[in-house]
Amino acid sequence: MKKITSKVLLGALLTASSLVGLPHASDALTLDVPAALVPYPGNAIRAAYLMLSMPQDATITSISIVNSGISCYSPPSGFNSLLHPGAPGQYYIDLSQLPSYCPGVAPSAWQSGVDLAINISGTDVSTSNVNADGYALINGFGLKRLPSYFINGGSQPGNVQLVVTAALVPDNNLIHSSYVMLSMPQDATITSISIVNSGISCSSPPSGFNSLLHQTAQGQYYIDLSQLPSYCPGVAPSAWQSGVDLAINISGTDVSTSNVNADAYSYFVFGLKRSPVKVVQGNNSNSSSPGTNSTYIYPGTDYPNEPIITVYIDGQPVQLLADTGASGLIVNSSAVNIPSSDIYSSYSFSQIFGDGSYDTGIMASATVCLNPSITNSCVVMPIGVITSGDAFPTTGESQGDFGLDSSLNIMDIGYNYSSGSSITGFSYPTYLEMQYGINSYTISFYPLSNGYYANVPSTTPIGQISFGVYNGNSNTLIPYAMDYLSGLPDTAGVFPSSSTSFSDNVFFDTGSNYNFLSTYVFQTEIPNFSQSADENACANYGWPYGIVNGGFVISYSLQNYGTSFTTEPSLSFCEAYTNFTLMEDNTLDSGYEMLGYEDFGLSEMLRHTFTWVLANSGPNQGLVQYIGINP
Amino acid sequence: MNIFLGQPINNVNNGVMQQKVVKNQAFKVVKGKRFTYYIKTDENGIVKEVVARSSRELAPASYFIQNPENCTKKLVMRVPLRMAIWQYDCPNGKIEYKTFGLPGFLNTEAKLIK
Repeated sequence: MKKITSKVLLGALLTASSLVGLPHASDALTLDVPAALVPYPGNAIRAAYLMLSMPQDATITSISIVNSGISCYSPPSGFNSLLHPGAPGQYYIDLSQLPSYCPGVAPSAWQSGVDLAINISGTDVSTSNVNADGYALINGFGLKRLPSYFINGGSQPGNVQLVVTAALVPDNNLIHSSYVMLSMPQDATITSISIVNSGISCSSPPSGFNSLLHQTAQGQYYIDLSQLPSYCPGVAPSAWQSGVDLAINISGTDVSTSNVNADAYSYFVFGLKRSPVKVVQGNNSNSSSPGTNSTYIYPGTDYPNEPIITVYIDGQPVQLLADTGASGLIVNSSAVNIPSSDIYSSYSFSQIFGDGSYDTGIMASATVCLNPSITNSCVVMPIGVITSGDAFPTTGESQGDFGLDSSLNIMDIGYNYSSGSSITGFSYPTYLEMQYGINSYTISFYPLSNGYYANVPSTTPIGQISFGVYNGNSNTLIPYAMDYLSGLPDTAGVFPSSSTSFSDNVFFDTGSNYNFLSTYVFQTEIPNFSQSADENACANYGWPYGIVNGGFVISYSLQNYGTSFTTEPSLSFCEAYTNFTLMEDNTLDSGYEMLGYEDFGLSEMLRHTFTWVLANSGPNQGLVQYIGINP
Repeated sequence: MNIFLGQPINNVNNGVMQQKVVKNQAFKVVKGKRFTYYIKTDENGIVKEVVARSSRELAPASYFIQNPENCTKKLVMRVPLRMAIWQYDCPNGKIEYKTFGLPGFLNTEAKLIK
């Protein structure tokens, strides 16, 4: 491989940056370099350059350190004497010149990053013809880009939010170190830190979030991101290494996008990676920020692998089954207190489940919230109020079914048989999309304490559901659309083997506490599969008839995705009668005759994080179109 | 519609019957008003297994077992909300009656096991 020198890189930056056009015109502008790394005797910055393209008659009128009160002295021949011309109108500044002109900056700050403001003026100066970019070489680490931005006028003070995209965070993983450099007014306060789209809000250190800041100069700070995992529970360990989107809210009387700047980078086994930081006006913690619209999933007590969430129905907290195998919301009448004016008693529904249990009831309109204090977690929607049936005994923990598959296999379609009209109760997420444009939700689970199983108290979360706006790349998602015969959403799956493969529709169903796979799957995946030899080893220990013995590897692939798992439990586990509330990949043989679908239940879903993406327009608005599975 | 196990297929006289191969399994398929039936017979045309599919209903055992009141019924297993298997010990043999599925996709299966 050809060795890339700093001069080659500088040339590349000169070329690339000259292609960039920016929209606003002005006779003077401020170029902001939020986290300039600068060589200083004894620090680890070997070299740092800022490439600058501007009209030849333009003048650098001042250089200062944002928020610090430090204005750099002008060299005797003016600031333009810091420019090294590369071609007409193309310059670079060797940033190692700055420390001697900018007194008052702590030596350590040059290494952690300072927020430079460079004012440029001239008759033709505008953001259309001034461009800049920079980089620094760090001893032993590599190259870090120094991004720069233009500031055109101030914005209203108050709150800003930093979004650190794909922050890599040390957490006993391959990330060695990771920092966000932050410049902000000295009296500004970090009010919250959260993980975008995850529903995870980081807890505050005892002395507030500002205690995470290391001050390097006046108004200049950095955050060592390795502090975050202990304050942000619920993030899978693997996520810190693959990257999380951090949202950092900052408030203060003078806070605006003009005086808050940030940049981030991390160092890992492959070198240095920059994590770009976006600064946006406003504090989104109490608006439609998806990160706050979430709820925990708890282990149910009715049976193993029962995911329970609490939702608020007309203000009443109710525990329901979180069920991606159904649409709509049904709840026992005794668990809610709905005003009679909202009861549609002439619209009745009935529902039967696969085990033969059933419910019947009447339709109602109710306000359903994940969190009553967060407005955009609340929707007014039709629900089914169960008046009789045995599917959800009132003595059980689950008082109904919170359908989360966001399709048309609906539990509560209420019919008025005298008028011929009907009321349909779609899934809660469908209404969330229609009322707030929130078109995505993520269902994630925490690692199980004993590897493939855990015995979790009913008061301890096992995962969470978070609602937000999907802004990722749908090309990498798995198509997951409604089957028009059943209303059930599914996707095409392939179960491969060395000699053949078996294809079938696949769906993911938290409401099923086992994987239900057809005998065809096992015949394909397990060499010389025999129902008599390879099933029911645990049937004598209270496990259901048809349970596949532990230890078989089952592989499957979907569009854009593939994985495998090992069936559980082993005979020795069953013999030991170990208590558990959660278990991965306990799998039932559903037979030859169960035509049409392979049902991955919670036992497979526990291993992954699922993202449901709903259509935000068109005839299927609010209905699922794609899912993402990770890992 | 009744499709009794252990009886000739030609007793099924409501609906149009078609031959179909689903996942390498040969079925006779009958579309009724409420269910679609997938029927397996032996070489003599005797009904051995029936699967009834509907989006919103499970077929009662009496659709497949003649005089079920003469049988002893035992729950073999139940997976909450998704599956149940019952065994009917009848004067003419044992029958497994299985229900399976979820809203929008419900199967009832009955087969002679002895």
